[in-house]
Amino acid sequence: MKLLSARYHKPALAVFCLSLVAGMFFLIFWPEYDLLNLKVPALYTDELLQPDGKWLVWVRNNVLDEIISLVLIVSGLIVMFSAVEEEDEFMERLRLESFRWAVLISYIILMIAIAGFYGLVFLWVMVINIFAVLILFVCRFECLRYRLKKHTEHEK
Amino acid sequence: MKNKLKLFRVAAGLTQAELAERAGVSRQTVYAIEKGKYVPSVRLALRLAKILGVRVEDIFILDET
Repeated sequence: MKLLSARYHKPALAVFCLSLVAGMFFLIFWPEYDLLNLKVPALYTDELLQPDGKWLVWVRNNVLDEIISLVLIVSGLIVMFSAVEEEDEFMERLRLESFRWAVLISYIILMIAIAGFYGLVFLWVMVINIFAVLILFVCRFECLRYRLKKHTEHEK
Repeated sequence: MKNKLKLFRVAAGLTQAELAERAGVSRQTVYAIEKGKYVPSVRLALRLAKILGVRVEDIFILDET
């Protein structure tokens, strides 16, 4: 598969880490800035506990969580699909293995959530699990790269 | 799969970095192959054998067990 240029990898990784911190900040403190209360187009919307929803309407919404989520996803995807400085067939395999591992762990978390969490906390686990594949992939791939780099420094 | 890459590389007087550069891969890849953590593609195996002046089957030995 053709990858994006290696020059995107580090900046995307930095943005990903920052947006991850911003996402955690948002989940903990739930901040609301008036500046970000905007009228936005919605494909579909409904009120809580009311079954009748509306298609293709304008809704007023605080867009901070949407911005953080989209930045997190886009930067994570760029990290996932951009080459690294030392790109070769071994890095390609590490990338694939990290992806496989991330999908597996993500679904294990999902299974635990389905079987063990009930009520609103289940929804929270689901929200976090949306980003789990990206977060787990980036952590695993970057850790493997770092460890390899450290090991090779000691070898002649 | 076992391999004698390190043996042949040292015999050829090459460092991991030099072999990696000649083979067009990263130093990490040469390290991973030598440690048996990664089995290279046929193309890379042939390239390594050519650089070291030996046959592929001299470097890579199929584990019978």
